[in-house]
Amino acid sequence: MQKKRINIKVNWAPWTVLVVGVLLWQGLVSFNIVPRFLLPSPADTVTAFYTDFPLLLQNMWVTLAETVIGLLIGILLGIFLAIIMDRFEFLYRAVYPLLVISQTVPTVAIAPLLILWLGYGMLPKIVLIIVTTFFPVAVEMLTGFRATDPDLLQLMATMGAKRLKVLWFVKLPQSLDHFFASLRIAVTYAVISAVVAEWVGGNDGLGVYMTRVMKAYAFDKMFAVIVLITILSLLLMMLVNGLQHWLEPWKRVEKQ
Amino acid sequence: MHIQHGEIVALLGISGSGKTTLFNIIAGLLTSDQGRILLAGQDVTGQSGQVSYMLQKDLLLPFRTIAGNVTLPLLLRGEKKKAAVAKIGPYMQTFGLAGTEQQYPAALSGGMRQRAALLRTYLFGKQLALLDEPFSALDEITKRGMHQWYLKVIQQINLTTLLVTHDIDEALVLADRIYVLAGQPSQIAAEIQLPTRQQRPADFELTNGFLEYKRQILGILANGLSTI
Repeated sequence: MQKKRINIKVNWAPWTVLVVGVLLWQGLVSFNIVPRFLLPSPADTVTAFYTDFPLLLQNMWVTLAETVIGLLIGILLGIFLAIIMDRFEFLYRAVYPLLVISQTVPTVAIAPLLILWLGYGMLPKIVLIIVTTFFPVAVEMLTGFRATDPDLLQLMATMGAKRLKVLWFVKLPQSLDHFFASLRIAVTYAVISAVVAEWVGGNDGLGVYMTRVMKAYAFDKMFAVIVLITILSLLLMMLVNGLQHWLEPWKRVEKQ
Repeated sequence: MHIQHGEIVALLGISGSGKTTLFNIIAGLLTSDQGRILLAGQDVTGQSGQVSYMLQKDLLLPFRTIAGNVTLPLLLRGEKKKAAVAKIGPYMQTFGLAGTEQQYPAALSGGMRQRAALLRTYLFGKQLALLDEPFSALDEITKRGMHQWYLKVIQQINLTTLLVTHDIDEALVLADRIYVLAGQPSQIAAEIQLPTRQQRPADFELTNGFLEYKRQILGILANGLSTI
């Protein structure tokens, strides 16, 4: 019983800091310590959020669709790469160093290129998300595969298990922790990449909305869209956590 | 070196005497420089998947339930999950694991996990089981319990066992026959035939006969050490 109560208990400290921060911010603007045209108050932000909500929502669906599609393809590509790098040592030695180096190329730098090549639609955004998300997944999954207990692999060998069976029964499930660690990184990367690609060029999406309100000097709307993007990332993160909880039932036992 | 059907043979030696290497050769995980492995008259040298194999670590998959772990050899053979789960039912009873089917290994005691690992080894269904110090990670009391349990269960399931151990008491309690490895490089220094189960008194471990065997083995091992 004691343990249950601890699990449900909410940590109020960050909420308190958040509320105090928002109140301070409101105070700074309300008492004209910072001019309103430079910094909208929290109340202004909420009003902008409310009045522009249909438009925000419409753009959000576009960004969300790009994020989810790009993320899914990126994850599959990452897992696939990890599997073949684990299977073929020469591929690991040939591809892995290049992969690591390729990650030093900044996302922002290739976004304009992709727009030029692939146009203003969803495709360049999805491609950019794939490029940024497959890497953490591939690296973490490979680490997970390689962390398999050699004795366990030996045992599987004595039971006559073939490679694919070892992958399915041992390597994939035991790499789930690594997978979810990489997924948390990939989710934030994906949202950021979508917005950045939309900045560079596009017709719809939260990034496009952002550049528009920026050009109009509508700071309150800027803040509103930033809040929305944050909420979107948080919700996706919670989804990942929920998925992990659901897919790793044995963890619940270990905690008891 | 040979093992009769239904026999429990112990391979006793100090650490580093090559017991585990020999095991891996029998299991087909390593190739031998010389010598052959014959199983029921057939040459299986260098072939894996011919004998059941169990290590000191239980190596249960933490992410599979006990039923999931135990049925693993059946699933690997291509059996359907439902059929496999149905098949293990009676064995779970014999191995004292009834009711743990849906539990994860983390929730079980060391002894139970080792029993589950043993059942998994058994269900691989080979004539010969290789056990590499299967009980040495357990505490003394649990280990004794496991010895008694193993002797009881072995009569019901008729499994030929080759047991690797560095524990003289364990070898004397479990085995029908003991090979003692000694020397450098180590070789079989002695083969000791123990009395049959029927001939042994219930408190065999506390008899002078038991101590006599122990003295003999310690002598052989000490001789081996003095030549290093």
